[in-house]
Amino acid sequence: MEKIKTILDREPISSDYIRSKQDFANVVKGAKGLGKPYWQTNWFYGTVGVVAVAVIVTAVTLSSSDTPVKKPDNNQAVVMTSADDQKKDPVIKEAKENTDSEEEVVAADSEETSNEEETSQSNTNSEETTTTQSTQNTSEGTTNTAARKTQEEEEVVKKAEIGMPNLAGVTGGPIAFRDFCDPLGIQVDGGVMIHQYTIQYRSCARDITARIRGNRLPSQVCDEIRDCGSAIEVTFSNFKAVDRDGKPVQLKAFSLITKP
Amino acid sequence: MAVNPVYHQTNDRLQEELVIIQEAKENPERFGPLYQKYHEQIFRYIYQRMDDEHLAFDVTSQVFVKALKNLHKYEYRGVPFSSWLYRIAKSELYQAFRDRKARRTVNVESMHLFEMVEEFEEDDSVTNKKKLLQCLSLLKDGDLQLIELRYFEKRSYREIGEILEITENNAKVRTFRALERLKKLFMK
Repeated sequence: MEKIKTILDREPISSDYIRSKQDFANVVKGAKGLGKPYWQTNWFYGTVGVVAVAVIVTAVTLSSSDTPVKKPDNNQAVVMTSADDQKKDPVIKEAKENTDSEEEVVAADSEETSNEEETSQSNTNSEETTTTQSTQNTSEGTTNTAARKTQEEEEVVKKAEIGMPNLAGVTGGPIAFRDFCDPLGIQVDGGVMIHQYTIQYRSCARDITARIRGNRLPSQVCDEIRDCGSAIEVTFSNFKAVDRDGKPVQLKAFSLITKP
Repeated sequence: MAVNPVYHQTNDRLQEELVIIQEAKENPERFGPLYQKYHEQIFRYIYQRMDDEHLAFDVTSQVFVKALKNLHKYEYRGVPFSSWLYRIAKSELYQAFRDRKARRTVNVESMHLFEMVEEFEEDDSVTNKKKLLQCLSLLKDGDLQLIELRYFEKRSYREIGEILEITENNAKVRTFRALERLKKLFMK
């Protein structure tokens, strides 16, 4: 710390001399010239506000356009959810009586995929026709908004061209067992390939919900429905499908009622 | 101890000042009378604590610029307007010390030293005066300020309290303690 300087008997300054140094005009001028600091001015607040809003809007826009498209699964497999049948058939994993929980089953399905790949691939060699195109779609997650809008418009046009999913040409209502177990599986006009869907039906007094890989109806399902008699309503929904370009398309759910 | 008549004023004088202040809030040009009235004592307060005369005038000028600029914030609290000016002066003075434009200085007259040595009941010798000067430079700034205000500038405790924003009694107690510390240093 700097030592304090001491001065003894300094020559006094007269009042007249001090008065002669008064300059009130300069003081008034100084007070007028001494404006507010820039950070307290309105224009500063305004500018900062506008910039902040612009940054937030940009960030929100970018983050929304960066949301990746959900990656469709490559592999085809049958994943049935029936607890009762879990031991009977390795393909049937889980069953739930309550159909409201279907979404959970679907969500869990994607996590289970990696574990099930090995077992399911061996069962579905014949159904691997629709798998290769789907992976290409996932890399398109980061496009700008304008490009995305254009893409959505194109998809709307394509949707109009795409027909209803059908089993042997039947898109709803009664269907014969023979047609129901059509080896071609669920077909859609316009070159659309289904690689996953959910099936719901009541068989032998049990509500079954199953997630199926591929577009075909598993033979187990066919047999079970046949064994439990006729007039069973079967609903097909939550399709995962791609068009000729490998882009995902949405398909409407449909219900069929089996008859002998 | 004599009372500083420029600081202590009658109620009528204070009211007159208030009228000027109100007018000056509207029109800065009306601040003139207050500037003329207080310029000298604010300058002397500043010059007492630094050794550069020109800088002391600059700082004084800056005090009035700040006062005029912030006059709209001034509120009358029953104390003379000059106590508000002293507080600004103190702030500007320490700003000058921080900026290293000026060096903290204590200006003492022989008469003041004589009075203090007498207070300590010691001989008024040249050696004692030199020793006292040395001790003053060793005091903490707070203590030094109180000694300056009370013993070198002859201000009342009320005035000291208003300048330092403490009560009159507190000013008295603090000044007494500062003097005790100075005496302790002196007796070593």
